[in-house]
Amino acid sequence: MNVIAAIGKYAITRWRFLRYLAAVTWSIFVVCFKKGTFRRTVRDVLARQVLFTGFEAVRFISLLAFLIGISVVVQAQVWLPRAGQANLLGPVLVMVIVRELGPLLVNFVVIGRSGTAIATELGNMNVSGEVRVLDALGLDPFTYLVLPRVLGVAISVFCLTVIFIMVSFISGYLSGVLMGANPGPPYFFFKSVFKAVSPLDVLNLLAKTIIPGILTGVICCIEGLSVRMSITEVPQASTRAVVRSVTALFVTSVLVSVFTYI
Amino acid sequence: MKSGKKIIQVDEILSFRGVSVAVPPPYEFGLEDVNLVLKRGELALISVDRGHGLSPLADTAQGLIVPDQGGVNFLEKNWSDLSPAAAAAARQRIGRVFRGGGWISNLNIDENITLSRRHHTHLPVEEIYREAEKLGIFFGLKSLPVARPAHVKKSLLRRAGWVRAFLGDPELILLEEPLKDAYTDVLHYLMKGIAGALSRGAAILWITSDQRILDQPGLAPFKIYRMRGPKLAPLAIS
Repeated sequence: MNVIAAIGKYAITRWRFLRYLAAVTWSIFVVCFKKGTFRRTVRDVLARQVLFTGFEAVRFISLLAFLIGISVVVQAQVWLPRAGQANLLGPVLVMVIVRELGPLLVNFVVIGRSGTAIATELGNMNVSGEVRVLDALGLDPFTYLVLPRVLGVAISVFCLTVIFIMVSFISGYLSGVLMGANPGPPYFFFKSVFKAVSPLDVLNLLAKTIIPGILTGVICCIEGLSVRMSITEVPQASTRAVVRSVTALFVTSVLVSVFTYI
Repeated sequence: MKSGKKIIQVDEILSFRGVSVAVPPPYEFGLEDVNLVLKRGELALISVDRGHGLSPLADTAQGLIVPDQGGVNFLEKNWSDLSPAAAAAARQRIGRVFRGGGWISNLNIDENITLSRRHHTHLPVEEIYREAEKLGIFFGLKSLPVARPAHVKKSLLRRAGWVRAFLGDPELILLEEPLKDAYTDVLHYLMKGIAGALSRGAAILWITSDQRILDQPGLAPFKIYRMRGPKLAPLAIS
């Protein structure tokens, strides 16, 4: 009986969290379209978030994309012609890099780099009473703290993924040339890649970057703001934020793949 | 209207009527049957014991805490009757020196000072900064500190807190231990600021454990209350 009770309790807790997550995400959309939401102070926070999560991560994402380009694209260039499937180069690369690897890796980096920072920052702000101060100044903490962070993360994930895809293809092509993999003229290589991109792939890319980006932002803000009394709760909140964001990322990725391609 | 403020000429700025509230930590105690009325140009001194814990009085005055009993009115409107947006807009008309400083740690002090004005008004940023600089000089600051709160001396932080509280000519000014970390030789700046605010019709609620304040010349007329735990009792009307 205790086991059943424990399972029930666990399920109820999860269900409550999901419901809360959905409510906050929905509120983001509602507040976004409300007049007067994007005041200059909110725009400032949004710009800072994009700068931190997006712009400052470009170098690391580019390095990652460069290395992935070498390993994945070169292998595809070598093995597909040997299997007599050289014409599948474009579709295979799009499937691996554009549909799966790019969004997944970029989301991972953003969760590790910015998600933890958001949860920690908001947790510390809550403990030190700064959220109360914002309220006292007449700034809605949801509009000032949560909204720009969520949007900033989503925008950054999308832009970083586009950069990731471009850099990995370019580095893959160049390393293919250097390693003698004979990728052919650049025009044909990039043409085969672009030809393989369907409107569904664009939709898939949008869904796999924007949705997990929003969920990461919301989860990290929720966890950060859930810290109440003690500074020792902050690391726990950050850990929870990472675990839940990664879970949300995989669930979203799987669901989007299933709904888009099957 | 550029500043977004509606001109409402009401005489009663703040009123607590039979307010009782039980609050969790970090507040040390709640409020019990608190009655207080502040009209235009009035100053109320709330004398508390030295080392007293955090009281919810200022937060309740700002409508951040909903009373269990009684009601708190600001400009003759009950906080409970206002929508969240209307309440937030009303709070821009309240200046406050926070007991613990109340600085947003990831903003510079100048950004902290101007945050509310930049958020609530459409005034050009340069104009807001000019206004804040002027007020800073009034309070004896050479310029507004342009650094994160952690990197600014406490004595400067306190005076920067005064600038934030008085910026934009608020209708109500809440001063929670405004002299904490400030040297007594800067007290006259605050007194000058208070006198100016009272003369233009603002109301001031000053919570202090510093008994010397009561002997300050030029503060009259004011009401004095004593706060012991959750209870507020009137002591005198000067």
